[in-house]
Amino acid sequence: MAERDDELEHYLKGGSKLSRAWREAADEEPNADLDEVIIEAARREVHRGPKVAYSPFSRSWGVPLALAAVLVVSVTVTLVMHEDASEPLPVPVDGAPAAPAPAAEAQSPKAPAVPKREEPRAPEPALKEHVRPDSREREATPRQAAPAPFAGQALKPPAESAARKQALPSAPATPQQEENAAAAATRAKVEDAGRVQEMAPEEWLARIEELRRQGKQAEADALLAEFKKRFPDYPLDARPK
Amino acid sequence: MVGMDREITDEALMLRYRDGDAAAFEALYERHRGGLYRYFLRQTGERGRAEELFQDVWVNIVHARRRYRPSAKFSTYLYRVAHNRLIDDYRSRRGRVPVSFDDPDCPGEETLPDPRGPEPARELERREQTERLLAALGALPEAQREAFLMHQEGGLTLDQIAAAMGVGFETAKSRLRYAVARLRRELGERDG
Repeated sequence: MAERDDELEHYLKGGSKLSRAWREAADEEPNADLDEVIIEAARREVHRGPKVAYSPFSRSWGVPLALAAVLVVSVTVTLVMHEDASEPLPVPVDGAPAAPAPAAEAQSPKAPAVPKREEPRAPEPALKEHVRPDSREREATPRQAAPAPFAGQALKPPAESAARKQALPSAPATPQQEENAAAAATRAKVEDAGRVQEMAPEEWLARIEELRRQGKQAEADALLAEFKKRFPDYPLDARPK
Repeated sequence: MVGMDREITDEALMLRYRDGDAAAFEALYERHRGGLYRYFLRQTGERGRAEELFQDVWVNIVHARRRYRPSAKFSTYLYRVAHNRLIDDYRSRRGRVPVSFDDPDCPGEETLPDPRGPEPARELERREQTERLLAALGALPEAQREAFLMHQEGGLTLDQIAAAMGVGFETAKSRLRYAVARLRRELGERDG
């Protein structure tokens, strides 16, 4: 056994006759075609890129998940567009105050509460998308009660017109104008009471007489004129003076 | 094939290939193509089978490039893959692994030609010597032959042979020792 160990040691050093004989004998090589096949396979593997980036999970579920995500986004966008289309369009009002800009508020927190008059501007469809309140907030409140961006302002009289109306009393007015205004006011009062349609002719006349007693001649005249329109055939023998 | 610097180790070349350098693989392949091919050729005795197994091993190395870690010498890794492929081939063709892989103490020694047979001629033609050497190698048990080929063709040490074959150091040493003894006797080698 010791002799064989020495023999092995000698052989492992590489200088033995056996080693030399083997080197002379070992001249077979793979053919060039086989070399080319293997080298080409190695190149293809490199150009195929990293395979470990795709886990088995991503390989099997990646495409379905991507399709599902696209579907969800598409449905969501469609629903949002449908909701927007059913919302009342903002009515552009001349002189209506624009929606408060948070940035502007932050810049001038102590600005006076009186809204500054702004130049009329054309409706901006794109702006609507930006200032649209958060969809969660809209869902939390009933749809009809939800404040439309400009709905409130659209129903109110324009600030400029209101100011003009407030300025009217101080302007000099003709007697005819005063009478018309008084008649309109009286008619409005009667209509507000909801009794114009229901009042009998006698009641109309009683009211007119009452107004005359109170010295409100203009109102009485206006009411009388209205009475004649409504009851043209009514005999006015007992017409109040 | 590729004039890559011989100073670069096999492991460094394989790491380069792992990182996408195809030229590094060509250099690595050039270094080991002959040895690995002869390893299979001597073990199978058939050129067609040898080529098939040879290609399988390299393709296996190529596909596993991203998992390569230089925890051992590349040649050990290469011949470990080759050994496993050879064992699979034995199983598929013979239905079992040759018994020599189970018995480290050289079964089949009796089948070797009698080393004390007729003295070979003093001057042998190289071709005759080669033929005898190959015949003797072919007569070795598979496991011993494999140990010899791993050292001779792959340059593996005893430790590396043991790792590649999946056996202990002493088993690898025993297989190689018997193989060398028989081949030396066949060559009429006395003093090395």
